[in-house]
Parts: sequence; C-alpha cells; structure tokens
Amino acid sequence: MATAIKAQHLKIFYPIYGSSSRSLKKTLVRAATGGLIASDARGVNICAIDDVSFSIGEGERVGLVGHNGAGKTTLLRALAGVYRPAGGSLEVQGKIASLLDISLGMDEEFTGYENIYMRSVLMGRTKSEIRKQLDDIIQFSELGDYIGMPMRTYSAGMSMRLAFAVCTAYPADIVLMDEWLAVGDTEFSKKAEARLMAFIQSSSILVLASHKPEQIQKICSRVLTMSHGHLISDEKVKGTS
Amino acid sequence: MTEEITAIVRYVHMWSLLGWYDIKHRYNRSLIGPFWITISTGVMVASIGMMFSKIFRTQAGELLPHFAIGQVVWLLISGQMTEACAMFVQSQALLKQVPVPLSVHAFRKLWYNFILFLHNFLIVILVSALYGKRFSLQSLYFFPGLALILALLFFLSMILGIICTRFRDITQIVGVFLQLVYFFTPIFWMKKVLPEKYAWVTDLNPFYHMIELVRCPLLGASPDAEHWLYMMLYIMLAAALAFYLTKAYRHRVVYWL
Repeated sequence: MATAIKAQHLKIFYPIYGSSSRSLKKTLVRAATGGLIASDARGVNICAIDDVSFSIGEGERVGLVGHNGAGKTTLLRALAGVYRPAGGSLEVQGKIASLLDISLGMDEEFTGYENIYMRSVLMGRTKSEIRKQLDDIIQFSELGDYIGMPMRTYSAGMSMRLAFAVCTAYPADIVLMDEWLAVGDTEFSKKAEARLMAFIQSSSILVLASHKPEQIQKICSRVLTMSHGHLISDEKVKGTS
Repeated sequence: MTEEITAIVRYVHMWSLLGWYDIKHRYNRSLIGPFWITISTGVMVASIGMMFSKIFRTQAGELLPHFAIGQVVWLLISGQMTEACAMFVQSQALLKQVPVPLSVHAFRKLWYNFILFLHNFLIVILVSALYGKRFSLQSLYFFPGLALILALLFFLSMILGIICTRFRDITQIVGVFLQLVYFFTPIFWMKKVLPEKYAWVTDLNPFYHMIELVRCPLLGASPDAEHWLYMMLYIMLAAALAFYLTKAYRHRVVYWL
C-alpha cells in the first residue's frame, strides 16, 4: 500500500491531573458527594490538537511550524501512533522512524554494543537486521574501540553520534523529526548532515517540526503552520526541488 | 486484548532484551551479579527459618523447606506486583515515543522477576537436598502450578499497571497491602499451627492458594483440588478485569503519564 498520512478533523485532548485530582481520595469523595465538587476534581482538559485536517502523500517533505505549545510535538506523537485521536480520524500507512528522542533506551552503564542493540530493538528491528547494520553504525559513529566500553566513559558528543548513527541506520517510509538533528563538531556535522539527507531521501515522507525557518526552506516542499492546536496555514514552499 | 496477549510472541525480542538489561543494570559492576539476591534470600531463609522453628517448636527439617519455597515464590509474586504498579510511569519515555502493546512492559517485568526467581530457586534446591526432601513424580505438578502463577501475575500486572498510572496512591496502597499479606499467609509459619476457628485466614487468602500450588509438589505431595480450583477462579476474574481495563483504557494510559 502506498505510504500516506491522512488526518480528518483530528482532535487530541490531554487531561491535566494535578497531584490532587490524580489521588484516589478525591475521586472517591467525588463519587460520595454526588458530583457536588465535580468541577474542582475533574481537572482541566487541554485541547492540544483541535479539528486539524490534512493529507500527506508520497514524496512530500513537510515542515511543521508554530510557536511553543502550538501542538507540533503532540501532532508528531499522534503520527507516531502514540496518542490516539480523541475525535476525528488519523490514518498512517508505512513504516515509521520516529526521531523525536534519538537516545531513547540508551543507558550510561551499558557498552556501545549493548546500546546499539537496545536502541535498534526499540525501533522495532530484529537481531538479524541489527547485525547487518552493526558495522556501518560503528564505523559511522567513529567510536573505534570505545564501542566496547560503557557509555558513561563517552563524551556527550560521542553518545550523540552513536544515537544518531543507530537512528539513521534503518530506512523507513515515514520519518518524524522534532527539530533538525545536528550532531558533532564542524567536521563531523557535515558528515552527519550528508547521512541524514541520504536517510531522508530514502524515505517517502518527512515531517519535520522546527523553529528555524531557513531549515524548513532548505528541506521542505510544504509548510503546515500551527497555532494553539489549529492548523492555520498549509502552503507549498517556492523553489524547492 | 488479543493483541496484548499475542505480544508475548510478536515482541519477544523486545521484552526479553528490556528485562535482561534491567537485570544487567541492577547488578552492573558487581562481581557475582544476581547471585547477590540468592545470598540475601538464603541468609534470610536460614536465619528466620531457624528462629521460627524454635518459636513454633517445629523440626527445622520441616519448617525450613516449607519456608524456603514459600519465601521464594512470595518474592516472585510480591516483586512482580510491586513493580507492575510503577511500570508504565517508569518507562514513560518509551511509551511516549514507541507505540507497542502495553503488555510488553508487563512481560518485561515478568521476565525480570522470573530470572530473579530462578536465582532464588537455588535455595529451594539446596534446602531440599539438605533435609533429604526427594523430588517425586508428584513434583511435576510444580510446572503447571508455576505456569498458572505467571499467568495470574500477568493479568494482575496489567490491572495494577493501568490503575496505578491513573491513581498514583494505589502504588503505595499495594505496597502496604503486600507487607500485611506476608504475615497473614503461611509462608514462614505453617497452617497447622493456626487454631481451627481461624482457618479462614488461609482459606480465603488467594496468596495461600497460589503458594500451595507450587509448594506441595516440591514437598512431594500433589496439591489439593481446591487450590487448582481457586487458582482457576482467580485467573478468570483477573483476566476479565484486565480485559475490561485494557479495552477501555489502553489508549488513555499514555495521556496519564
């Protein structure tokens, strides 16, 4: 089936539970008092995405812009399948690579090898797929013999390089990214940029949330602008390939 | 729920790795690793067992095997239940990025506690050998018994995981509850020292039936039919509740984190 994303009247609510309304006592008291203090205990719902409709087809590079709290990350998480819509519908077809937190699951105490396995498994990869990419990951991250050392001995840059190398090792249909990934010093960042571009090229759809207009201009063919959970504009970027 | 249960096969590489890394993480940089848990349980069983055999005026040879098995199974049950309460909150980074069935987290914890159980089980073997308890054909009942306990723990984990994520106080309540249950269950004391009229303390105690199911076979007897029946009943009740909660709240859990 063709890779595609289709959202229709998508709505996502967050219930906000303070420490008080999350407690059992409040809920029991509420049940016992017949809803008298219900307004207090019910808490607030935040409407993070409200009535958003769009569809993204194969080959599109979509930039997601908007101020802080506009709903960009929430939308990315919904696309990743983590947040179920509270209303409307969302269909996503294709294998997703979610680069929202590239070092998810990695741990200081474990060696580079162990972290490669853990990170890859959390991306839904099997042992044999991992084995195939292992050399490429190690080589790209330039960790050398450090790959067998616990990650706590790495510098921050080294850890990032490893996480980045793993995340971009497995091709996917849909790539979700929260801010453009930039890792390493000047020399390494060029190499990383090239790898990331190749990774995106091999994918079918990119959704990139970013605060940097120039980054969006450079990469994306289409820009969705969000504000307070609404989609306020949807336009093509001029002069992109 | 079917999706949650088949995850045991579909996500085997994920939950087994996560559970295994939890063990590695806990015992990182220690020389004998998880065998520390064997040692700590062993010391506890030996010392408390000796003392209570004097207090209850029972032969050490009778109380110690009874206590060793009870304690080791109890650690599996209580360990799993305690950790199930916090499992979603603990792995929220994972839940917020990767859409996998919730049961993967339950299997991860179950695997972790099962590995610890295997380490503890050395004590059961040691104590049995020491007091000349011989495994017989009846001992084979141990395996279905253990399988049922794991099944029940799985459903309980789903229930506790979901409820405790929504109502954080329940985690504390479960902790206090388990502490109490330990003393009200014939783990370090034997049912026969209980006066007849208080028999209900054990008869109505689910944890008693759970433990007996594996303790009887290991002591060379086949478990009473009532233990099997109660266990089936608990599993059905827990499965029904787990089924309902999963169906109703499976997709809400991530919003509660």
